[in-house]
Amino acid sequence: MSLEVITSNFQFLIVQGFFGLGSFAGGTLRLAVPAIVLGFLLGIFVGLARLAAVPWIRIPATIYVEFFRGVPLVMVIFWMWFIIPQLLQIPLPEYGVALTAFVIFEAAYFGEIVRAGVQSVSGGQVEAARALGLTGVQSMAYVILPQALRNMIPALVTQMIVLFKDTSLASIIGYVDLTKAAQIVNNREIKPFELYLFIAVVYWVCTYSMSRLARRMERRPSPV
Amino acid sequence: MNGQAIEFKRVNKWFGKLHVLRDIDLSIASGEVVVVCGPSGSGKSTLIRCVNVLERIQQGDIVVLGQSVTVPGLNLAKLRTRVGMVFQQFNLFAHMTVLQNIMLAPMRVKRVSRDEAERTARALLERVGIPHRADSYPANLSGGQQQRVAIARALAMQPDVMLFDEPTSALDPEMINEVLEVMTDLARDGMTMMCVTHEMGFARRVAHRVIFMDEGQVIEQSEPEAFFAAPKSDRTKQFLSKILSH
Repeated sequence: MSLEVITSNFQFLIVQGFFGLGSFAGGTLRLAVPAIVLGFLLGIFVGLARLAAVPWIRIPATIYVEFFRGVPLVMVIFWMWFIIPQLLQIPLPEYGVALTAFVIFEAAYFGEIVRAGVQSVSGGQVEAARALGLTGVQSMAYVILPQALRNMIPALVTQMIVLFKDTSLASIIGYVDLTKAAQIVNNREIKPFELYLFIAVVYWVCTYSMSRLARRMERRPSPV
Repeated sequence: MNGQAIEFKRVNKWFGKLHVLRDIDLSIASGEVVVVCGPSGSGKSTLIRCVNVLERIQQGDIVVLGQSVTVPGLNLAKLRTRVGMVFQQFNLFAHMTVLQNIMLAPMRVKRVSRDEAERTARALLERVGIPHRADSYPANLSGGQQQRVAIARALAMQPDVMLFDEPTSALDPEMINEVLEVMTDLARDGMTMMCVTHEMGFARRVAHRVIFMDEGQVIEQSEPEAFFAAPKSDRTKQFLSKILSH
């Protein structure tokens, strides 16, 4: 085993494939970071909508969650890639397709985590807030969500790790992320062992840092 | 005492098929301290929770500080700022310090400045006897301390009426008195208070009137002296013999 294939292609693999700074529209981080942030934000709305008292908010949110949890992510990516551009009659770039597919898909999972987190906060907390004259929105913002978010950290980080790794699926529509970059190099140099071991290490280092960071956050001086 | 603080007018409430409040007619004058007692399931907690509309009634009306709770489009938040409530389980906000717990509603609901809210909060902590715990989190406080913070939190909104829903029932025996002392001080200061409690000593010393409920009805109400010395109904006698015997 020689690491020469890694060092000679390091620029392409890391700068282009991992960070997404290069001539290709690509990059694992450039896809994963906005996908996680936007997916989570949309997930907050989905999760709260799932808990809404009014059925015309709750039922669509429930259908949304059940639907996207029930289909494979690859399929959602293919739809976005093949079907949506046909319907809209405009070509969509790989980045836009991949990002949209991830955000829509992951929001269903994040939504369920948010719902469970909100439900984990005791009803007495809401009553106390309402009894003091806080509105429903204020109770949610100042009393429920801060506690819910803290309870959500473990599930949330697990989901973020899953999403981070799943960005490798974007390579199937030609998006040049870390996986695709390794594939491109391998097609030319035929060094699968070195290349795929190397990208495994890169993915692992990232996800392990995420879980370490999460553990630190959970251990912060705790009120509860 | 001038005017009525809370008036129940033929109030009825059901939980599904269960008739929990039956034709309640009751008024509480401002400045009055009323203790509501009765066996569990008698509807006393539900009754008190209807006052600040944590529960809705299906028939009749309740007029709180001149405001009917059944009018459509009622400004609930505004009503609730005038009615403080203390819960059996304290319900302090677990992610906030004692000081933040007390400051939240004045700042967010009444738009009081941070400085003023903090000054009020510290003064209230002084009043309930735990100024040194301002920066603690609720989980690090004893039950009695938590309940005193909960009282301070309610008082921070400068309510005209205070509701107490079994404030000492979740406390260890040695902590009950520290909470009752705060409540007694409050009563002496002229606060209108409606207290669901089994603390008969408190009722005897502090209440102006004791109300006995059973099966969703007000069975008996009288001044504490008369209530304890000469209960009129058999059910009241039975209840008192059970809770006063030990």
